[in-house]
Amino acid sequence: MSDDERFERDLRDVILRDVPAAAPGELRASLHRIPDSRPIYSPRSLWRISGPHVAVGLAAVLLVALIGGLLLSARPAVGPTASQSPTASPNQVATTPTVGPTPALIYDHLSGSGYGLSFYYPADWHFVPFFFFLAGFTNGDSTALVPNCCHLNPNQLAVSISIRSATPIDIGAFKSPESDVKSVGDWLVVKQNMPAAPSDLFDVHTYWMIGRPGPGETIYSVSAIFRGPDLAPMQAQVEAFVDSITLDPEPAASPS
Amino acid sequence: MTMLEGVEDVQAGKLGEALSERRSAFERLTQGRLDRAYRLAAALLGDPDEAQDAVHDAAEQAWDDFVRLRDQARFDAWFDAIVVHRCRDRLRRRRVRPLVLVDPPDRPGGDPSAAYVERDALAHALAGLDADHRIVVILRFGADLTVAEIAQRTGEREGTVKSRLHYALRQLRGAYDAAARLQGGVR
Repeated sequence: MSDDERFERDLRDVILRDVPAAAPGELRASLHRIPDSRPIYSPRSLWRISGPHVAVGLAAVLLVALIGGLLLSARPAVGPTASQSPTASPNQVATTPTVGPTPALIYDHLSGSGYGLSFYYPADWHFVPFFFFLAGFTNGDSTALVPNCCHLNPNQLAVSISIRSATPIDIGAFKSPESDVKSVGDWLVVKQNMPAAPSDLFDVHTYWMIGRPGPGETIYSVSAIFRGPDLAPMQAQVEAFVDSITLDPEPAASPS
Repeated sequence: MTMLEGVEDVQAGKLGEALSERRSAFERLTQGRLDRAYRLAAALLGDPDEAQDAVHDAAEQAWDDFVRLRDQARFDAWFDAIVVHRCRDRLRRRRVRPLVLVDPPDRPGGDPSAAYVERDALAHALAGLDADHRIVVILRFGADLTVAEIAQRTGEREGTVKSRLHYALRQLRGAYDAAARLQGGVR
């Protein structure tokens, strides 16, 4: 089998792997319930109805912003400004969870982003956006690795970031005595040291989940594996990396 | 009963019959196409539950527009196009793509971990494509459609489809080959 044929075969397999064989009976039955006559709204007619209201609303917002700006600029500067003071608003999701990168640990860092996350990572790590995967090493081997698959050489680490949005889960349910749970704003960061089976793949496996409590939210998971003997500096690097994670300004929405 | 009332009754009866016939034709055609439409939506969205919603939405829209479908022999392609359109809307609304997990394959001979990594890379690269590029790949390799048939279902010109297919396959192949090289380097 040629490389091209193998590629096409694997592509078909990947596309069709989780595709059910047939439509569920519930969907089939729902076709009978489509009413004979349904109201039809054209976007244009909706705009005709709501256009003036939208225009009035926008004008009101602009007016409030203008007055607010004037009042703030006229106010004497006492105490911390709004951007310096901690915000306890439950709606603040854009800047949590973060405490910023630790300069002592990531003094020479790069920034990365993807899937609604931004983060800093040490400059000697390798970031593979395709996999959303990072690998760090201190032994000069620059091969990027895929965790849970390949061998880590001594003093190597590998970090992968995953997103779970299709299946609603409640991050609060993952609280357990073995977990280190940190609340940042209205988010939870759950850290768990996974029991490492005796293996030559890695020595330590640490797992973080980041999300808001409650079902149906996007959960980010960070999985890091380490191979010693010098575990402490590598673990500190990954801790700093996790602490540096911020959500992009617009919160990542779950698929509707 | 006046003469006018009698005429209205007759007209209402004819309308009712026409609606009933149209409805039964719609249900027959939709039910016949449902499995394929659902599988297409599931492949496009990578989420069977969301696919169910998308196909239901598509069926509602199809019923609204069914009166304007003059040639029922074209129903399959016409309904597919609505499904694709609905799925494209949903893909574009997503800011977060679902995590794709690939089970290690059972392949006789060869290194199973190597195949796993290559397929995993392929799945991630596929999830990383934008909606338009993902759609042409799924229609070509998941639904086995020709470029002309894809153009018909996406409402794009054949040249656009070819161009998107070329770009998407280059991305996918790049990730696939990189994973293969990675395996070779690590082992």
